[in-house]
Amino acid sequence: MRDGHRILLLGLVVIALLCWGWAASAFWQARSLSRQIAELDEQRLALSRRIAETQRQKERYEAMVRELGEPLKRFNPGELTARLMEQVEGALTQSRLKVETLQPFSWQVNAEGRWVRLPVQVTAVTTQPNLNDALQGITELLQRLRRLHPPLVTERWSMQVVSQPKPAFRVQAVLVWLVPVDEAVVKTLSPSRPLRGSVAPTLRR
Amino acid sequence: MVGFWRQTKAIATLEWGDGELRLSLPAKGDRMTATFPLTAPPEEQGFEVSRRLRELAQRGVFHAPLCVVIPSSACTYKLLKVSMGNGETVEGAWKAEALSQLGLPAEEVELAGVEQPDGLFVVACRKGFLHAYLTPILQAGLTIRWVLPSIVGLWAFAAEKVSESWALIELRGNRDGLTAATIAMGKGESLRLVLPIPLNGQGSAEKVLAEEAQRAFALYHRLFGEPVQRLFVVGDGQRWELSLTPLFQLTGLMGDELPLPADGTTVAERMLTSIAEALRRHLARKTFSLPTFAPPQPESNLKWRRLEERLIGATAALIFVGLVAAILFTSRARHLQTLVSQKQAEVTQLRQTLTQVTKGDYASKLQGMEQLWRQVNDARNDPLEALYAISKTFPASAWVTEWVFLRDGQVVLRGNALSHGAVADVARALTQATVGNGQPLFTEVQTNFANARTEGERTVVDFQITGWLRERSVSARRQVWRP
Repeated sequence: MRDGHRILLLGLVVIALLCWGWAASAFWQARSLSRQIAELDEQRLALSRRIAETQRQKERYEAMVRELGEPLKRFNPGELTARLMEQVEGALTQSRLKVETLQPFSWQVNAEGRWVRLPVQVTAVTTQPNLNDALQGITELLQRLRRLHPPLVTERWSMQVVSQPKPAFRVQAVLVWLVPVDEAVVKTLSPSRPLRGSVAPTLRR
Repeated sequence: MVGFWRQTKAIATLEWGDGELRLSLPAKGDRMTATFPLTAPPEEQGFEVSRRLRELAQRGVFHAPLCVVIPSSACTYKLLKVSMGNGETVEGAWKAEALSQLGLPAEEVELAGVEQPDGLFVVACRKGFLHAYLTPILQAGLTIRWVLPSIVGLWAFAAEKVSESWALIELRGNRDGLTAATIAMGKGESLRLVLPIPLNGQGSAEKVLAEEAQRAFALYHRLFGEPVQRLFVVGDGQRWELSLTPLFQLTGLMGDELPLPADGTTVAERMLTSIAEALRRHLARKTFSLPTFAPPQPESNLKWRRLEERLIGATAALIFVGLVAAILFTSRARHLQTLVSQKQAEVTQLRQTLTQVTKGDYASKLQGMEQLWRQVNDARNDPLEALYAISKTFPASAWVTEWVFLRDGQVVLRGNALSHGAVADVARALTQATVGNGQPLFTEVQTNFANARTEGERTVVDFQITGWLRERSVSARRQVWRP
């Protein structure tokens, strides 16, 4: 009987050890999994933030593209210069300014900003009957230039009153067309020569 | 003497048998007695007694030294003409003599003896009976101090009451009736003769009892040369419808019931209280002189078994708790594993999404576009706003002949005025020119020259003023002003 008790006790002790071993193993597993869940939550949060940030950047980029124009995937300076001259001349004509000189300067690449700078110098005279109307015409010209796409920046603007043959304003300006280009286009342009230009002919009328 | 008695510790007495467990315990200046009926079959009553005593022990009622009272009928009594003496040799001699005279084997019998004026009074009891009687008490964890036959305890209680020869009849019975009687005889405080009177299965108990008592008195008279003069009866005679009057008439003795203490509901309980009182008195005499059996010690095996039982219980509880904890933690771990799988899938999906959205490299693209956007929207690159603000504030006494708008916000005005004061007005007006939310248009306005010249009869002042446009935060859309 006594041996039976001892065998029973021994068996129970073994079972108790097994149970507690199982419990300890399950506890540590649960603890490890809890930590893993915490890490995964952190990762998920960080990823969500990065995704949200990237989405925000994408939306902002798209908004800017809508305003500034789609970056060009192919850069043809001759064609662009011709278009610029055409648009500027069109704006001057619409505003009743007589173009005297329209001279494009050499184009430049901003590799960091991924855009190309196409400057053009223009000299024109107002044709309105009086100075007040001429000023109105200049205002309209400036508004038209502002609406061009890609955007046009006025780097220099000079207005001078002339009296011959009739009172008018002579306008001399340097207008710069800032054209966004694709990264591939920037790479094709020589990185050793960030300011690369081509001498364009002066158009005189 | 009385004071010494009061200081003697009270004693608890316990007795079981005849279908009852009886107790008489000291309690807060008084005694508490109780009788518990034993409902189990006789062969299982030991377990019931053990369980009941364990419950009582857990309540803490057994704090006094315990004397176990055994039935008188379970013992054999003999007065030997030997001296008890001291020392192991002498003790062995009287025990051998006692066993010889009793005709009992030494290995089966437990002996107790006490010296009396007429010799050594010996009480013998079978070890088997003592073991069966005392084991339930030991199993309950109680410590036994004395084991005393009830007739001896009653003799000790009644001994001081008379000086002549006396007889004491103890009646015992159960629910069915009178079962046994024991008669003790002696003189004064000395005990000389104890005889059991079996009554089981006999029809007329009164007659048998009277005849046996007469025989015992005759034996006492023959042995000790003097007659019994006083007879005490103790026991619940009325309960068994036993009339004592015929007994007293038949024996012709002055007899009455032994007056017992009031503590106790039944006669058996009051008998236990009497024995406890007698034992306490004997202890107070310093020289203990009652024949009690050696108190048994709990077996070491029993201790180990109890320890094993407790360990088994504790281990079973540990197993239960461990099992519950293991099941809970396992279930929790499974739940967490599912969560981990879900979250891993979510993270993988988010990574794929991130890879897809970062393919466009919007960060670097946006940086370039923002740079371009800042340059395009820089107010200092907008001549229209400056033209509007200047024309709004320009005084009438001066007019502009040339207006140059340079890079980085430098504006040059050349013109004519009617006086130097008019030139000053122009400079002041340009300084105070505001744009947007009332902020000044120029950070600095500087008059380069103001030269007066005479043209015909009029004096004209040529002037040149340079101003530097204030830097402003880039607004998303430029407002169109009309000059």
